[in-house]
Amino acid sequence: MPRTNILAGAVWLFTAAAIFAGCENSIEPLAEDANSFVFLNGFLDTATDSQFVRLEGLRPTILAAPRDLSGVDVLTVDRTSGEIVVWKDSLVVLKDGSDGHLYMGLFTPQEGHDYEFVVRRPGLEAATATTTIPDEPEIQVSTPTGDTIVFTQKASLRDVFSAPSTLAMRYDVSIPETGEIQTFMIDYGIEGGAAGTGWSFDVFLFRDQQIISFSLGLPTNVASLALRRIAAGVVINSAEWNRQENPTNLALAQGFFGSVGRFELGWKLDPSDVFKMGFLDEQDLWMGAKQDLFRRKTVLLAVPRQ
Amino acid sequence: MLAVVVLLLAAGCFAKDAAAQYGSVRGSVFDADLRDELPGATIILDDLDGEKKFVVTGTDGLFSFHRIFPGDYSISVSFLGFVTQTDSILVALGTEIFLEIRLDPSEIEMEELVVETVRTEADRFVAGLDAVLPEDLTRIPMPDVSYDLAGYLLTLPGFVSPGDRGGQLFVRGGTPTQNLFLLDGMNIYQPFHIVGFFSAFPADIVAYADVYAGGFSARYGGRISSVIDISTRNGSKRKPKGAISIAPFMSTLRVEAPVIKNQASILISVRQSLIEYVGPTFLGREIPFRFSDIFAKFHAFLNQTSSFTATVLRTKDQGNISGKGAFDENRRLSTWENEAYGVKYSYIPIDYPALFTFAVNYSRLVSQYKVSQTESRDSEANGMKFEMSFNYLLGSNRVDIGLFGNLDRFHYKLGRSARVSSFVSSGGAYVDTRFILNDIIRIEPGVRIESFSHGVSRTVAPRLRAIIQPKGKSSKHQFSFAVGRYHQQIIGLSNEQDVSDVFTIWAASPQSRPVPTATHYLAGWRGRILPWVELSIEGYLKNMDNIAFPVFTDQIFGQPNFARVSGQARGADFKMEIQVPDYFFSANYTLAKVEYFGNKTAPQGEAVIADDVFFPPHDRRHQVNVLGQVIRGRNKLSIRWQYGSGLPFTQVNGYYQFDRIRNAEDDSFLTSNGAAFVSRSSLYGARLPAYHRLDISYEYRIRRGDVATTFQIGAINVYDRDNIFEYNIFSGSRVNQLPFTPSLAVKVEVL
Repeated sequence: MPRTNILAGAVWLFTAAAIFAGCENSIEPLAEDANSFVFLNGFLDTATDSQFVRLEGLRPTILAAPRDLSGVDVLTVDRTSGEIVVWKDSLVVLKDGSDGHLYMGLFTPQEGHDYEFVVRRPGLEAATATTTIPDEPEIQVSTPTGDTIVFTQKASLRDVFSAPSTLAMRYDVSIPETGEIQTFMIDYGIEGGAAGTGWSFDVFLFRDQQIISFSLGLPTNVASLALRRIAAGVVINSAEWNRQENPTNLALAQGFFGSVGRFELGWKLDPSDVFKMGFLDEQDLWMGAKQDLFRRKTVLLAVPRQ
Repeated sequence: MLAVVVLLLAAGCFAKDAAAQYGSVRGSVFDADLRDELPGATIILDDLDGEKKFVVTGTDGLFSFHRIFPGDYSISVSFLGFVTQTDSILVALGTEIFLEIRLDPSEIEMEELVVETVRTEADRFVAGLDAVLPEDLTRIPMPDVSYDLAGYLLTLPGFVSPGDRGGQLFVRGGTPTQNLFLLDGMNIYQPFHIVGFFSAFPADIVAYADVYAGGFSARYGGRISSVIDISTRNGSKRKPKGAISIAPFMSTLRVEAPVIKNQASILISVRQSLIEYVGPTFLGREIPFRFSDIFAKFHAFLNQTSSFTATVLRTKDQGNISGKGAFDENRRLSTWENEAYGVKYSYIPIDYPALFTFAVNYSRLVSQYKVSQTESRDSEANGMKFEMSFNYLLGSNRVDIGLFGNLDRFHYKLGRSARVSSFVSSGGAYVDTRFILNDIIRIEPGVRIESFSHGVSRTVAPRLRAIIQPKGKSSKHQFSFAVGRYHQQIIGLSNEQDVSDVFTIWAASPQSRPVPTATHYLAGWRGRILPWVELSIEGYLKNMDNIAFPVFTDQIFGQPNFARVSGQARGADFKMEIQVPDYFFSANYTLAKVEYFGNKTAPQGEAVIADDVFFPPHDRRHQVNVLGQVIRGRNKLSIRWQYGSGLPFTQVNGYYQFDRIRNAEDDSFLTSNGAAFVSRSSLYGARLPAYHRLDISYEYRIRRGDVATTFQIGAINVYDRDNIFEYNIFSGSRVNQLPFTPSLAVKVEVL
């Protein structure tokens, strides 16, 4: 009796179908470990002893307030030296008038060291961010070439293969009449390119002398200034800056965490080359150490938390 | 639940003692002049009440109909180049009728021009193919008495739709823009209406549809996933006919009439939604959807050897896809309009078994998604297609050769960004063959060679299908295999992160980059374990490369980019079909898996997906369709239940405000608020709830002379399941698919 069997089978199947009416039907939009996530934004800077990072919990919906971070411990671990620094919370007034949390760590990051930024909360897995402070690159220079109009020197930052975020030439010159020493910084933008051993760029010796003399109102065709020191000023970002869209150094965290290294890389020119570029040579009189012209201004926006 | 039981009990009332009281009809078809057997002749057995069965003679010219219910039948026999014979027969209880039919050759038999595909029993079972006839469409409970191909497609194994609105269709892992919808050869870009039960293909105009879920032959190209090739019927050339139906979702007017009697006809179908107007009164809520379509076809025999067809289709859809509240032009308003125009000329040489066809088609889609009063996304696709084909019949074998060319122009504009335009062309040739080696093996090798103006310069796409009947025509088991390589130059970018988003950007594949490609492997078995029970299993594997997949920035409302990923879809379809007089039952189950593989690196301008593997939002693992139908005299009861396991979605960790630090001298990030960003959890790592629904319809049909009237009552989502359509992770708002929705419809036909 196939038709009877069919009907019985159909009734069975459709009844079984109806049983599904009571199945689980809810949606959980938030991931299981959503509470563990934090937002952070900031970077470590070798040129300052005060580091700042914005830190807050994520918001469960767009318009909700950030999740509470009370009881949180924030610290950095220098994985190279083992040093641990506990960061302090401070409140900052954001541009829309609301409060933001700015954490401050009092230390100067060391070149080439690995740092881990750790956010610990009771009962939750720690959120972390890591960065490696860029190493100071070695600078290699070649013999200057060209005539008095186009007189350049090839320089190379060894093992730097992406453009420095800042590249400038620093010239310390003395004015013979007064003995005053002035420092000039000439921004080179993203001059140069990656070559075999590193980032290679041209130093425009004659052009830079012309700029300096002109800025002091001195004749550009008479050697009236003496060169005390020539150096390249370089700011190198850590790898995280190139991966801001897809960071790989954050765990249970969103935002950005990186570092910068600021370096002055000087060298000595041959006296004949100094003369050729239009300066008198006083490089042997240079007594100073590295100066902190690259040092960023200390941010004083934060106030101690009450 | 109670309603279900009551209706099922009602269904039981129709059952009576179903003793096997059948007859059978067998016969042979000969050439009356040469006395040769005629393989491939078509025999149609009509029970005079609208139910038709058809078979095609085998290589020996024999045919048979088994398990025929006693009664009066009309039998019609036709074959290319012969005069069609029609006669009436009486099938008595327990008897077997044997007919010897001799067809007289005709100088020209033009009616055969409309039979452009001769299908044998073996044709019914081809890996990847579902051959759909109009009566198949009427088995599906719909909130409309006129029926639609869309309702049927959604019951096929491996066909995944995210919901009953928006009309997105994913076929065995392929996305909507990888499906080729052809209506009389015209490409229809977005054929589904905003209410997904309906498409541009009402049952009233469909002659037949070949639905290839994969493994399609060399005559099809331009898409890498599936082909839905719909052939419409011609209007009546003898007398005017028509139909009018009124139903809450869609009301229909169909008119067909001879323009020149027995020579030229026109068929016009106009459909318009009413749900926006009747929703508040009939259903007690606003349903902000408007949709309509108009189809017209002119067909004429120009002379004794040639025919001409002109076809026009226009559709329009508009609605607030969230489906909440009254129609609002300024809030998430989706609009799309299809236009398609086609002409076809066919010629049959007098003394040569061949068919020559030349067709030109133009298709256009204009779509817009209006996010708010001030922001909208716009897309336009235009396509012109030329095709010339030669079909040679070499006895029972066949060779089809075609030449084709395509011109496509695309524009899109997203918000305030500049309008982007692209123009591509392609052209090539195909050879598609069918060789019946013997009663056991049939093979269908083919190749499609196509050059693309974008992407790689030339593609060679071999295709092969094979059908094996171990014991010849009497075999109860058939095996079918298909393998093929597919390319498409056109890509579609839709917000796959939100499967409910119907807005799709159609664009050209990037210049000088590989075009999207797929390779299909299919293998199937079909067995008739009892005369009335048919089982089938089909496994498939699709490897896909260069698939465009949208990648959204973490910044909310940021412009999406796309990544070029590869993927693999694999699965198996299990199907059981039981058919006895008055009863039809089918159940199918699909076990499937769709994986996409991240691209790791990307050329300039394209995005990266770092995940090794992820499951795209149309990866439905389990799907069940159960369909039952009982016909008793004037009564017809149809029941369908569908189940689909949950689709993947991406959970979030939360939101944050972020101001990117531009450089090391920039301190503003310490006090600025920044833009809103979302932190997403693992890509498509969670699943939405499962979908399931029961639909029922009951029809009562009466006929007085040439006028038939059908009344229908039905209900969608009988047990009022809250099936999710959309969940907005930003706002936390959830939009469900249609709740329990009763319907009442009436249709009057002039036959």
